[in-house]
Amino acid sequence: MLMRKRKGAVKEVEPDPAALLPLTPSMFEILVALADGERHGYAIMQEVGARTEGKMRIGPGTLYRSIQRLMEDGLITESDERPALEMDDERRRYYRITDFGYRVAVAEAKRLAELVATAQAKKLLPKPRAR
Amino acid sequence: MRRQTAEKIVTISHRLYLLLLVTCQPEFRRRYGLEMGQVFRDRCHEARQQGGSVGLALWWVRALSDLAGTAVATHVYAFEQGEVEMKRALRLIAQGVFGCGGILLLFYTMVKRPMPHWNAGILLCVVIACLSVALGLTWVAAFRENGRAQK
Repeated sequence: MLMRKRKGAVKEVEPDPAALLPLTPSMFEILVALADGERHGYAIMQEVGARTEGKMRIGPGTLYRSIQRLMEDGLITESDERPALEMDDERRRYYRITDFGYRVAVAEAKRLAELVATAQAKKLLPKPRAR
Repeated sequence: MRRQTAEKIVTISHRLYLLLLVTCQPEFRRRYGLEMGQVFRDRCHEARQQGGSVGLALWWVRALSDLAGTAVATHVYAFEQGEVEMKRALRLIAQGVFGCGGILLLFYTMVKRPMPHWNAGILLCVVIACLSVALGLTWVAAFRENGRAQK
């Protein structure tokens, strides 16, 4: 988090989510996977594979490279909470999205939605039918 | 029996993958290596259950290409991070150039195109000098790391 001094007081400045956009597809997929709860690496991989019907499969290297970047940027963090003892595997680390990470994910989703709207306006995509 | 063999194959694959992680940047490997190995192992089980040996082989191909990309990307990322990493990267490049250059020169002059006695002697000296520089760089780095660890 950035710190700015103004009139002797130290004020914490919230970083701008837009400064981190655009996210790479794998980073965005990981944020989306963590949006509804904490997960370990393999669960993230499975969630992404299932959600995209196997079209996007993240390998272990890409997964942890993205996790490293996301952690450095403060978008996700390692979770202290562990699942129930019978379901826990202590070799695994669980990750959860931070508030800032959530805001970045929302900003990226909006950016993509705007891009889709532009594509529809230029007739690259059919417009969704009104209900 | 068959299940035991399958488990053995997955275990060997897992160990081999952990060995291959040496290509990644050391800091990244220390932090995420075991987790990557665990994910790889879980996916091995899944691939084997879904597609048998072919499924496992296909997963290996994907994992290897992913690992190659990761190895390059982690080194490049570390290179971008700071001066210490930059020095390490430059040292690695120098070692590679001198080491490989020396070996290639040796092969070319001695095996592929044997030279007259006098020229070959000079070239051999150059090769030895190249290899010495490469080895020297490795030793200097090792001594420094040792010194840092003792402090």
